Amino acid sequence: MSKFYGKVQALNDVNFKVPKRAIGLLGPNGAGKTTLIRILMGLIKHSSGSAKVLGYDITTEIRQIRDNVGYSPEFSPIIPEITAMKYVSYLGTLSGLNRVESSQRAHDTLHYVGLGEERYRPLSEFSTGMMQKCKLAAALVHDPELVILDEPTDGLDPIGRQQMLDLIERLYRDEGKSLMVSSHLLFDVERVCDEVIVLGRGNVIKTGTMTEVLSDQSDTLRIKVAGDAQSLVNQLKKRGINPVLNRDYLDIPHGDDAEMIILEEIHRNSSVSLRYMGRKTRSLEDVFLSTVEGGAEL
Amino acid sequence: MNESQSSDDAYVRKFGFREFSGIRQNRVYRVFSVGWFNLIETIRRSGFTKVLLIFMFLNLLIQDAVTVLITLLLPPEFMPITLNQYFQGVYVESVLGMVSLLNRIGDPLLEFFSFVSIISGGTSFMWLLLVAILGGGLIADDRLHKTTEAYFSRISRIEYLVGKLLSLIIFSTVVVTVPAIIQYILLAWSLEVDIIANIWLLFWAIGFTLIAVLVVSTLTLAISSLTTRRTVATMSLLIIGIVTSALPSAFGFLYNPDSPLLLIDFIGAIALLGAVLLGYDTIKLNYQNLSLYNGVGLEAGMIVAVVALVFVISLLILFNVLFRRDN
Repeated sequence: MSKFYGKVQALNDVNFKVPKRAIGLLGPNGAGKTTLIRILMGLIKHSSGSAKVLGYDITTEIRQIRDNVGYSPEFSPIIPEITAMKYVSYLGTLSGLNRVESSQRAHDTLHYVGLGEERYRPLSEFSTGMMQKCKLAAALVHDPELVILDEPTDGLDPIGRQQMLDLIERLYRDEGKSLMVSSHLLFDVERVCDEVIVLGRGNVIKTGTMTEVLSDQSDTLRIKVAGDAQSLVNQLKKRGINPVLNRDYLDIPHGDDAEMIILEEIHRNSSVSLRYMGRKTRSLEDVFLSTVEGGAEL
Repeated sequence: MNESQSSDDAYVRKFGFREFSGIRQNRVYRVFSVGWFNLIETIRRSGFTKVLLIFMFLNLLIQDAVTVLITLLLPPEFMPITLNQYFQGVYVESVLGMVSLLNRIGDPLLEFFSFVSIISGGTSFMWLLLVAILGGGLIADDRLHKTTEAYFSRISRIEYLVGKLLSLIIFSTVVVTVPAIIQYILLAWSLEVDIIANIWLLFWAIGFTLIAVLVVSTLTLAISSLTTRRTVATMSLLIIGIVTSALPSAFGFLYNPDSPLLLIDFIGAIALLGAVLLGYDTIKLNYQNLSLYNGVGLEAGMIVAVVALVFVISLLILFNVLFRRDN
C-alpha cells in the first residue's frame, strides 16, 4: 500500500501481515505511523494498494472495521463542555450500541480505565493523563476486537505512563484484546507488545516477533562475571578470543568451542565467578539505533 | 493491595469487561444519535439559547393569538372576499412571514389589509438568530477540537453530515413547521372554515417550511464548516442574512420593485419560493404588486434558481470541506 500527500510520499509500498496479537508500530516522527493507522481506520484514502483489518477490506468493508476496532487518536478529540460519561456513551451509540447499553458500558469502561470518580466531570477540566484514559475508554466502549492506540503515553508523567502501560497490558493479557500500539517511545512498545513493525520514512524497515527482532544476529555470547573481569579478558585474549567489555558484561563472538574455553578460564581464575552466560539479546532501542545507523531509509 | 483497591478491582472484574453480545443498531439510529445529541447538547450548554427559545415560543404564542384576535375583530364581510379566501390569505401571509425577514410578502387577495406578515416577521428573525447560534458551532467546534476524528472512526462522513443537518432540521421544524400546523388549526377553528376543504394549504405549509428549513440549515452548516470559530460562523450567517434582507428596503429607491436584484435577499427568495409553490401569478412584495410570470423583471424561474443555487453551493462547500481526500 502506498500513500501520497500531493507529491510527498508518506507510505512507500508498505507490505506486512501481522497476527491478532499486541503489535507495536515503531518509528520516528514522520515515519508514517499515524498515516498508516488513519488509512486502516478509513479516515483517509490510500493512493494505491489494498489492506485488510481483521479480515475486512479497508475499501469495501470499512463499516465492519469501524465496528470492530477501537481507535484512540494521538490528539484528544473532545467535546469540552460535556462529561466523560456523556462523551463515552455518545461514542458508544455511534458504534451502534443502544442508549441503555451504551450508557452502562460507558460506566464500566470509565471504571476500568480508572476514571470512575471523574466520570461526571466535564472534559475541559481533564488533565492530559485523564484525557488519555478517557480516550482509551471511548476506544473500548463498543467492545472492539482490536484496539489501535496512537501514542497512548504521550504527554504523561512517569506515574501516568506506568498506569497507562499497565492498562494496555491488562487489555491484552486479561481481556484478550488485540492491540496495535503506535509509539516513538521504545520502552512502551517493548513492554506491552509481542510483535513489532518498524517504520521509517514510509517504508517498513523491520517486522517480526519481539523475540526475533530483539535477538542479536551477530551470534554473540554475553557473560556476566563477579570480580576482576579485566583479568578474564586478558586470559581469553591469550586463547584467541577477543571479548568486548561492555559495562558489567563481556560480549564474546560465538565460535565453535568458545563456551568451553570461557568456562575453563573462569574455572582457572579464582578472582572471577560466573553470574550469567547466554545469547546476547538487544533492547528495542539497540535495534532501533542500529536500524537508524544502518538504514538510509530513516 | 489494600482492601479498597481489591474491592475496586472486584467491581471492575464484575462490571468492567462484559463482552458485547447484543445487536448493533442500524445506520439510521446512528445518524439520529448524532442529530439528537448535537441538538440537545447545543441547547443545554448555552443559557442565552434557552432564553431565546423562551422568547421564540412566546413570540409564536403572541403571533398566533394576535392573528386570531385581529381576524376575529375585523370580520371579513368588510372586505370584498369570501371568508375562506380571507382564511387562506391570512394563513399564507403568516407562513411566508415566518421565513421572509425584512421583506414582506403578501397575498394579493388581502388587497386592503396585510398585517399578518408583519406579525410573523418576528418569528423569522428569532428563527434565523437561533439557527445561527445553534448551527454556528456544529461543524466549527468539531474542527476546532478535532472531534471529527472521533466521528469518522465510527461513522461515515455522509452519516456525520446528515446527522448534523438533522439536528438543525429537527430544531427548525419545531420552531417553524409545527407552529405553522398549529396556526392552521387555530385560524381555521376561529374563522370557522372547513379544515378538510383547505387541507391542501396545510400540506403546502408543511412542504414549504420543510424546504425553507432544509435550505437554511444546509447554508448554516456550510458556513460553520468554513471556520473553526463558532462565533465567526454565527455572526457571518446573521450579518449576511440581515444585510442582504435589508438592502432592498434600504436602497429601495435604486431598485425597480420588479427587479431581479431583490433576489440578493436569499432568505426572502426562499419565502418567494413559497408563493411560487402555491402557484400565485401575482404577489405583493413590500406592499407592491409583482407579477411572477409576465416575462419582465423578477420571475418565478429566477426565484427557484436562486434558492436551488444557495442550496447547491452550500452542499458543495460541505462536501469540499468534509470529503476532501486527505481531510
